[in-house]
Amino acid sequence: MKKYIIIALSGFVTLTGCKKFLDIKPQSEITGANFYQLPSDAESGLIGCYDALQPDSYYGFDMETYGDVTSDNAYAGGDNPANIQIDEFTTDPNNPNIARDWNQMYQAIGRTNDVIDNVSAMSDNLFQGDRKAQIIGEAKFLRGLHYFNLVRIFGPVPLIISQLKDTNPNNINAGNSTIDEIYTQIIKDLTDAIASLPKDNNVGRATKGAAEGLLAKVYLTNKDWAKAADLCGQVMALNKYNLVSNYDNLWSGKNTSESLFEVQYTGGKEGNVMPDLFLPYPLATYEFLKFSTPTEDLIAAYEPNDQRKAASIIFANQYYGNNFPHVYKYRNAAGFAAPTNVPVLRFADVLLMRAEALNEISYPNIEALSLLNQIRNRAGLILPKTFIDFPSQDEFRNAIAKERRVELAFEGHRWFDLLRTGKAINTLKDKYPINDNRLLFPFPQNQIDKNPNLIQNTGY
Amino acid sequence: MKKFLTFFISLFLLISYAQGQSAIKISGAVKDNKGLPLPGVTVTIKNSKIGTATDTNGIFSINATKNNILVFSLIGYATKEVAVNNNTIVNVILEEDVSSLDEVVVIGYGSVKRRDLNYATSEVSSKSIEDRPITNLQQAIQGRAAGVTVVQPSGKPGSGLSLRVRGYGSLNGSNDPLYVVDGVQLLSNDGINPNDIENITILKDAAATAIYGANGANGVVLITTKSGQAGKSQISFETYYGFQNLTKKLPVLNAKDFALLINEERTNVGQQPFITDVNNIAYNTNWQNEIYRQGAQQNYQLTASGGSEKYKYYLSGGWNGETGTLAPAKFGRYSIRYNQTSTLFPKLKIGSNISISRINSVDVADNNRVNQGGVVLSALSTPPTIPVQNPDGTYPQNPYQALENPVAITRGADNTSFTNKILGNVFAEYQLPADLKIRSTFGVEANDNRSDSFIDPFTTGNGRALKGFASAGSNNEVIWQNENILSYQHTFNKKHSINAIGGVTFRKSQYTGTYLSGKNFANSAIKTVNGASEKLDASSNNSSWAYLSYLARVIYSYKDKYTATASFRADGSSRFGPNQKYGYFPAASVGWLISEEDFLKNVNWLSSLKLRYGIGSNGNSAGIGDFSYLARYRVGYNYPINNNTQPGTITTSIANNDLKWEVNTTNNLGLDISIFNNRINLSADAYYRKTTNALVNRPLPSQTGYTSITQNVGSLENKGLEFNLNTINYAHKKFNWQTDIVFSLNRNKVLDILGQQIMSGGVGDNGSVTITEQGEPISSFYGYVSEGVDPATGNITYKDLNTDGKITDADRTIIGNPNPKFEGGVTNRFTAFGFDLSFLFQFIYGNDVYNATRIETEGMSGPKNASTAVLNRWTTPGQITDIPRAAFGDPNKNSLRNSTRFIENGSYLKLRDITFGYNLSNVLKNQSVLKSARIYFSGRNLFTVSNYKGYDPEVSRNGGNPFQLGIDYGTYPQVRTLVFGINAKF
Repeated sequence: MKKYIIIALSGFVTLTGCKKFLDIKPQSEITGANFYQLPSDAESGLIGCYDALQPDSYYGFDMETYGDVTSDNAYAGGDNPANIQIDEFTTDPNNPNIARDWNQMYQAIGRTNDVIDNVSAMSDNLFQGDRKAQIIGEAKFLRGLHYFNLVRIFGPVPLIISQLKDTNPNNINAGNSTIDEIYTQIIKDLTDAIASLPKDNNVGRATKGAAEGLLAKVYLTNKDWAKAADLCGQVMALNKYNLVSNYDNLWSGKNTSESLFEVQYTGGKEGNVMPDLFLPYPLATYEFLKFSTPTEDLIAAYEPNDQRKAASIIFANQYYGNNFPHVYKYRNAAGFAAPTNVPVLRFADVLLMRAEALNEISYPNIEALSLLNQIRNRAGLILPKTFIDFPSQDEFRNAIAKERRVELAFEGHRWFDLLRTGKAINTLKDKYPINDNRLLFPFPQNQIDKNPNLIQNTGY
Repeated sequence: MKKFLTFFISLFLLISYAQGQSAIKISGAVKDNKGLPLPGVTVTIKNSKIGTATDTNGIFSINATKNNILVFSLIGYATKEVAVNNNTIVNVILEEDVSSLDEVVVIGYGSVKRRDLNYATSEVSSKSIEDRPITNLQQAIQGRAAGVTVVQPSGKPGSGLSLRVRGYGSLNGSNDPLYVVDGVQLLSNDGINPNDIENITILKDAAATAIYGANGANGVVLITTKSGQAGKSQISFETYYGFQNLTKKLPVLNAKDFALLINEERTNVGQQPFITDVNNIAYNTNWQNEIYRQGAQQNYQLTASGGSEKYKYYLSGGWNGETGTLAPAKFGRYSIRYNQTSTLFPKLKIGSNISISRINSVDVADNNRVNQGGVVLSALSTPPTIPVQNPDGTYPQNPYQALENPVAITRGADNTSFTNKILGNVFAEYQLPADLKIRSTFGVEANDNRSDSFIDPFTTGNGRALKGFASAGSNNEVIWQNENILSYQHTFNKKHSINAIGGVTFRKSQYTGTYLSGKNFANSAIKTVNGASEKLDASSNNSSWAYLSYLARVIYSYKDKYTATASFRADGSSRFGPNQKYGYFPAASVGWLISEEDFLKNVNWLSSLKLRYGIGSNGNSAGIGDFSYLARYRVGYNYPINNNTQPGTITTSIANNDLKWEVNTTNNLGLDISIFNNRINLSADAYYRKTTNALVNRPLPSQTGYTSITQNVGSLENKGLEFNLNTINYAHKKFNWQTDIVFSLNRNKVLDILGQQIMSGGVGDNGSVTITEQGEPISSFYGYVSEGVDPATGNITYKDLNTDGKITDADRTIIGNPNPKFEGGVTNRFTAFGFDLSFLFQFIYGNDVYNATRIETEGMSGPKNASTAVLNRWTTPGQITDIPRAAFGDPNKNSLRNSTRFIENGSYLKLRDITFGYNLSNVLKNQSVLKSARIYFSGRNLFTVSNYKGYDPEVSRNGGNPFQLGIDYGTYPQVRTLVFGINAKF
């Protein structure tokens, strides 16, 4: 009897617990402790940061909606009430576009924080040459870009510049920061980026010129004319960028000599939805009413012989109208996965920014006029303008604004130009219920619901 | 001398008593209600000690007088009393007893007699499964077990049902109970053929489920499959065939009214109307008629079972098929099962239960609006002004929005899947000396699922844009389990009996998933991914988990009157961090069979009375990821550099080393009472169930860079009452009537959730409609309060709850509760003259449903068709109506806001099942091939009484997701089924 009990129990003892039985590691995911050990980890983390630019909740569609549809360049088009709200200044905090866009921009920021924090902690001698500093520089460029977009669209958003490591409520539920604090950080990030980025880099990556151009735009937005003009000058001094001779080549090709920074798409899994959303059938593979319909106002703004009109807008007979205008800059539709890039910064933009800044510093400025004529000349408007055409600083200012409008139409700039020059309300008040409160979009309701420390923008 | 005198006097008394009436020999036969003889029945004269028993042919004889009453009793059967009167032959039929105290109830790791059962359980026997057109075992349980809610979220063939025991106790998405088949825990319970089930026991309170510890927190469903019986070889064949139809169709506008509507939507906002000539529209397509058809259901099963003392077997094979009412939805299951036990040596028993099944199904897309390809809503939204098919064979889209028509969605895409499932176990049991027994089981569950889809490059707009698309995905999971249990059973001094077990369980899973897709096909000749000239996705991933558990239980019973049990379990899971892997779960219960006490022994009308109390805790670790406690990075976030795709990696979760077991503690007080010779049996339970350290995938604000984190936050409670009443109303050879009633109510409340509000259940563009917050039931509906249509403007007026003069998100409040106030079922069974009739009425009361389908069909904000309710829309100032004005883009947010406008009462009463059959035994009396045969008609969901405006109030778009209960959004409608069947035994 005793014998049997002992046998049974010892059988149990041998069968019972190997501690290792419960020690299971993931096979298709990487654990935090095993990442950021090699330079290839840092590179793939950085690629993840670029990847965040692609979805339609960011440069893949919605940035164009903020930049052009909100302004007098385009109507919402399509059938989505969310876009219509953004067009008509009736955006509700439950609007699904602002919810997904806010989320995507902070996702993007989170990835850059992750790279900046972790790569900085890696040992320098793992990397070749300056690559470690460059990686951090590329990530800082992107972080600057994301916060620049956030602060212009939403205003006093929370400023998060390090990766979240625990669930301390103070860290999760950080409240609003001031607009000044955010701009200070943007300027710091872009300045750091300029210092560590190379002049030339692989196609698609940030470069010194891209960081300088973006920082110039930040200074211009803050009316810091001298610094803006100066940075534009630095971009020009790189002697790397020049205007392409045929405006249409910017759109039939990609990554031209004029491009400072473009969001890359190669089709398939790395595909762009915009051509199918904007182009008329059969250029687009779908027939529905297209988004971002160019306004009559914009169509009339092109001067005769301006080559930019035919390159930017295409008219077609569709079931929803004859001779209906469509955005033409994004081509090569392919089943919602086009290999079409989205420009973020072009050399033409840099030249116009310099002209504008120089004009603000002092009128008349000969270089400003020459830059304006350079842009117009490229567009086929070969008759140069003189100061007789612009007898005052204000008129030159308006001329630059108009030139920016037709040069950069549908590239996501017009609304932000109207905003920073204080012209938004006057330009749009006849058509839409725009007021001071509506110059910023509301914080998404689901974020206010999740973070009790967030204060909604006034008027919503 | 004294002895002799006592004997003489008693004899004298006896003779003189007996001479008062003369005793004669009474004889007769005792049979069961199938006509089979019952040996071993005790036949006694009431109020005396005179008795005998029936022989192997069920015959008895006894001396009795005409005033005597004969009492017939047998374990498992209801005791019957028959007065002798002037009869010399007394033939009796005994009915099976529904709750005899000696009935054996399966509990975890063994079974006990009901008299020793201290737990709250519900049982469903194979009788509830036979002869009904059900495909899933959960359908067998619906409406028959108090406290167990079964929701069939849609009518799709083969759609899984969600089963909840005593409310929602978990916030993390896994509220499913644990399924155990023949002692082996199951991960997925599709592929189980209900016809192979002998009985189902549902363990409801923690004292019972604690022995399962890990993942038994939401109840345990114990399934025992059929086995052979010694000396009783049998072959049986069962089949049924029948039809399915939609319970109702929703009326939508015809072509002309549709044209008037969309024109009005546009002109009301100052835009051009869509249709110029509303009187000359070429087509008037009724889309619901085009996609819904009559479905069919059929089942064929052949079983052979039998055996001897040493070897018992059960072999079955069958096929169950269902063609859905929404083409092309289809479901088919082949299954084979072989169960056997053998006694090899006197002390060694071995056995195996193995089943193999294969399920094929064709799916249709539902639970979404037409923009996302949902067929059900497409049928309601697609304009009637286009034909089904163009002359060139393509399918036209909604011309104003390029959305596919429902026939295009279903015919332009193929979605097929199959699952191979192997479930098996082998066991060996050895009898050791000193009443010890050791049992070792090894079980395997292997699930292999493949889903393919193909969109052809021609018939639909989407297909033409992609030039064809195909995908192939597979999920393969193998789970093995080894369990070793030592058990001890002994009765000391005929008074104290002890039943103890102790053991260890290992369980491990390995999972592999793959996914491939491609587009750009030359034509539709090849539907597999190899025909795609452009490959899109090629991915695979693996994962794994493991559990290691130690368990022990003791059941002590004193004279079968007082019982106490205690159990303890230690569970380790790979899903928790190094310091939190193990959870410890104790339980205890006591029971008192009061009716055995002397002071109640003479109360004749009381057959049994038992009071029981149990308290215990269980853990839950299901519903969270396999590695939630680790900080993780994911790959696949790629980007082209130099026009070449580079690999990208991102961080997706923060480490949480404190992640640990969620704990469920339940207190259960129960009373079981049987009166009038077990003619009326009532079980009542009151319970309080509290979940602490609730595991939640807690949503984080986007600014953190993360979407959520899994944490133990908060606690919630469920408390309620359950009643199970069955009555034998009339028991007679010629006519028999029994009733079963189950009734339960459960109240759910979130006690603490770290002060957060979790909002979920977003539909379309409307944002979240449910909120889970402290002090309220889980998943309460949350939105604006609609005050109806303003007669002056035609817009919905929303209540300004904070009276600040404007309607903002602060004016939202709790507007409904999807949790029911009470629910239950009433089953009646009649047998008469060989006919039998049984029907189940099932009801649920007090729950709200959010009819989000009406947001689409009454939205009047885009070029979509609408329900006929919009014929009453507001058109002129001063008009009083409940439908607002039509307006393109809904600028006044009459439908874009989630509000009380779409909350409806989801209470219903359904005739869930009705079966009418005839036993052919009279016809078969004169032959010996067929032992028994029965034909029957059976119907399911034949009618529903409710005020719900949608297809069916029994609806849930997200199955059992606890944050999204009771939302109807284009969900596949329920169906009504009628079948004819035959069961034959040889």
